[in-house]
Amino acid sequence: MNVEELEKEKNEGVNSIPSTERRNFLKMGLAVTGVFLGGTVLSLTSVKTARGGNADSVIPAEGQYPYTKHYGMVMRQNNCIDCEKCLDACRETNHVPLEHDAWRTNIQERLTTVDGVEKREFRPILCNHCNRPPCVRVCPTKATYKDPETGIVVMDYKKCIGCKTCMAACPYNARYFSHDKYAIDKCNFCLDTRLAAGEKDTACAAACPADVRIFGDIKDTSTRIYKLLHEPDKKIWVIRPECGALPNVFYMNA
Amino acid sequence: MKKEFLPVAVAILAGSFLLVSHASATSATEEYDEDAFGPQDPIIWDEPAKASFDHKIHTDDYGLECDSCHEDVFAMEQGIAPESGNFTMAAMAEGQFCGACHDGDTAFASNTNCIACHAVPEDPIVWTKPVKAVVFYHKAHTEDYGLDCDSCHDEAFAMKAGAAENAPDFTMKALYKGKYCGACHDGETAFASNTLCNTCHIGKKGYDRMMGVEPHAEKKGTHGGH
Amino acid sequence: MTKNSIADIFAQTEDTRLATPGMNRATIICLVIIVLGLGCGVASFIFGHENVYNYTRDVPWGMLISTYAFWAITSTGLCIYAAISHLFGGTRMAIVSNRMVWMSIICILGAFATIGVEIASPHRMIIYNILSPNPTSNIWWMGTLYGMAVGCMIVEFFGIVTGLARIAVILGTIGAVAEVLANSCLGGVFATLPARPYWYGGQLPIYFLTAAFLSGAAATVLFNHLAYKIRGTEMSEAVKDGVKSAGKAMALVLVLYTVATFWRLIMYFVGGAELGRIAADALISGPLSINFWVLEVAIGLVLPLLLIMLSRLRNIGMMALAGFLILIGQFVARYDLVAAGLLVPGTLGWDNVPTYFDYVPSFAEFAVVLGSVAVVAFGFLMGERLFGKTFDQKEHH
Repeated sequence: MNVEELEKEKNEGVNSIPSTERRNFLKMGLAVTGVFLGGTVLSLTSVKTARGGNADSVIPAEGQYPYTKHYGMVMRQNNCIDCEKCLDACRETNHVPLEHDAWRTNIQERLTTVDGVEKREFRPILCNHCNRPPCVRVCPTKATYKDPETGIVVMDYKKCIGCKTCMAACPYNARYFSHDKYAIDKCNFCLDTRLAAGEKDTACAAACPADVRIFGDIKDTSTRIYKLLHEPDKKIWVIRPECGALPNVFYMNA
Repeated sequence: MKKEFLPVAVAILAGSFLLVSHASATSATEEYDEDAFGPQDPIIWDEPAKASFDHKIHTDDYGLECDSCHEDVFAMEQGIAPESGNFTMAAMAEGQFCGACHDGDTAFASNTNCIACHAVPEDPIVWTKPVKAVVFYHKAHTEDYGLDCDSCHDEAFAMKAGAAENAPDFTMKALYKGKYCGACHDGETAFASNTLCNTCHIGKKGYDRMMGVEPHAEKKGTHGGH
Repeated sequence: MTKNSIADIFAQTEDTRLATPGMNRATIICLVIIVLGLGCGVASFIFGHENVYNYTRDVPWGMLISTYAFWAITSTGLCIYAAISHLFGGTRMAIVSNRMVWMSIICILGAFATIGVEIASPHRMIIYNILSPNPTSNIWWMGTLYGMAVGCMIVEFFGIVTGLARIAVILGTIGAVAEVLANSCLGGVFATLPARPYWYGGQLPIYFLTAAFLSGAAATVLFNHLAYKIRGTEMSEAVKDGVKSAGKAMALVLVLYTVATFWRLIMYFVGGAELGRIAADALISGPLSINFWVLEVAIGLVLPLLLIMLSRLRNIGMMALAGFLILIGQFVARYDLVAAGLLVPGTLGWDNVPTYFDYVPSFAEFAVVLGSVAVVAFGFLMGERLFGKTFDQKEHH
């Protein structure tokens, strides 16, 4: 093996443990924690059918979606320039108050110094609308659930008791306490504000000038997101795969 | 490119240094006569591009009389030239304003020796339109990469601050067609403008940091409880 | 006896020795603290949950959750010991088991008082826990089971004071099973969150149960000691034996709990998820290290162990002090457990987030905690006064 070549590769860290390892570990976890976890027996969605296509892939396999539509998002991460037009569009469309704690989508920054030169990376984040959503499992009153039509994780605000367990459970920091709603609020892929009105994409995706956010139905082979996810030789990753939440927001470099 | 540029730069810098030190030497020994030599402090123009003019160098050092320039070339009254809307390098090339003498014969041509009158901006240019925020460092391009002012001005970029920013075509698409930064950032002369986005795009976070905006405190400030 | 009116029941159970001005004053002080302390919590419903408590998006839980867990765990411990005594008779602790049942109820009420003002919309909980239950939610099971347990224990206690031993034993058993399951679900709330490696894992529910046995025994020793202190009388030999048994259990579980704590922390440093290690580091050398080394370990584990050894399991006063210190340590241990899991940013390396988020409980949080302590103190005093004779039994069964 060419060591120099290898050294150029980005360090993937423990966050990119092969999916097989992860799943075996999770299965063990399911067995140990038994009834509390629910797993395939009690969970609200048939997680078995929503798994990745092959052992090493984070991408759902074809023909194995439990929802009518299966919405997801691809982030072409290195295109993100943190202009934050997406954040403004989201706030406006979904009436997210302009407070530090309150956001449905955000952009993270990472500054590193490589050979004395400052390097910056931006990473857009939002709810990952996981196939095995920890937030949905822990909610005592089903105030948050997977929409059976779209697979979008949505809130039923009036049922939210404000125990904040979903916030503790979410690996993606996607949830916040909304004073206005007096409940937990989160991204819903603009389900009520745009998709319901027939729009084809989310406010953030529509606002992005750098073509970072590609939103669409993963199930539909004609969509751009489908094509991006099935482009050969493209490295695709998800955030915190070790949590086993099977997220539907995928990252790649353009 | 760097090697070619360096001696030129050194010569220019040394030259201007000599001029300045010479001027200060005279003013230190003799009482400066503003009536004879014009205002002591240099004129600084902000429009259409930042530039300076020193009366003393022209009168005291080079022995020009007031009527060499006033009022044929420049009005006595302050601010007339920039307000004319024609106070440009193009006009000078046609012999107007400074170009009356700075034609390459009487004095150095107006399209040379830029930094005799213009300074390379110390601070980075930060564009906030059409997206927030893009940074450009003059210093890196002139000193590190050895470019001259006319490498970019006025073909790729007008000297006037904000000109590109307010142009409707100041977009990545235009860059890909070789406009603006794309004149060099084409993948050959310099890295292609559709790569390494975050070299120039510092984002809103980078902008806030540069402008000294405090990042959000971890806890919002509306606390009733304590 | 079942036909007796409530007044008659109280006449038989009330300990008139405690109807003193001093006791009245103590009771009133407790009431005032309850009103003021929990009042600060109730204020959260008016001024906004997120304004009154120092919770953020990053640290959504804090001292109120840990205090809730502390009281709930203590309640479980008391209930288990009481049920074991009731069920199997014969154990020496049976003689103090009625007091333990009462205190178990009181502790869970202290827990409910805390969680009641901690969650943003408790009224929605009452409605939708029933209308929209989620069987995969640990929170749902925990709430439901603790609710069931307290119901069972109240009926059990009614059986005890009215002499309905059969009802008392049956409901006491059901209550204890519910308490154990609820405790286990409380552990599960934390243990089943892969996003928080410091909590995630099958060990935590067992750890919580171990903590219940420890806190329960410590509370048994302490409250019995206090019960005789406030009366200014000596324990009978039988009661002494019962308390000594509890002391033995306390000593044994203290060792087990220490072992569990040791391995629990060691395992983060041999590999595994980085976030778990950073969280554990918060205890070892980070922002929670004083809490951990001084309060949890020195005051909560080592000192009690020394005191128990010095007492040779005979000196009840010394064991009661050990019990008190254990409860302090357990309170801090719950706080550290909750805090360490949340202080670690899940997106470490991005946004230049700090290694640990800042979280300091707000004034209101401290006030509610004090209020919950007052709830338990008030319940203790009222119990001794109204049911003292029942607690001070010569024999049970």
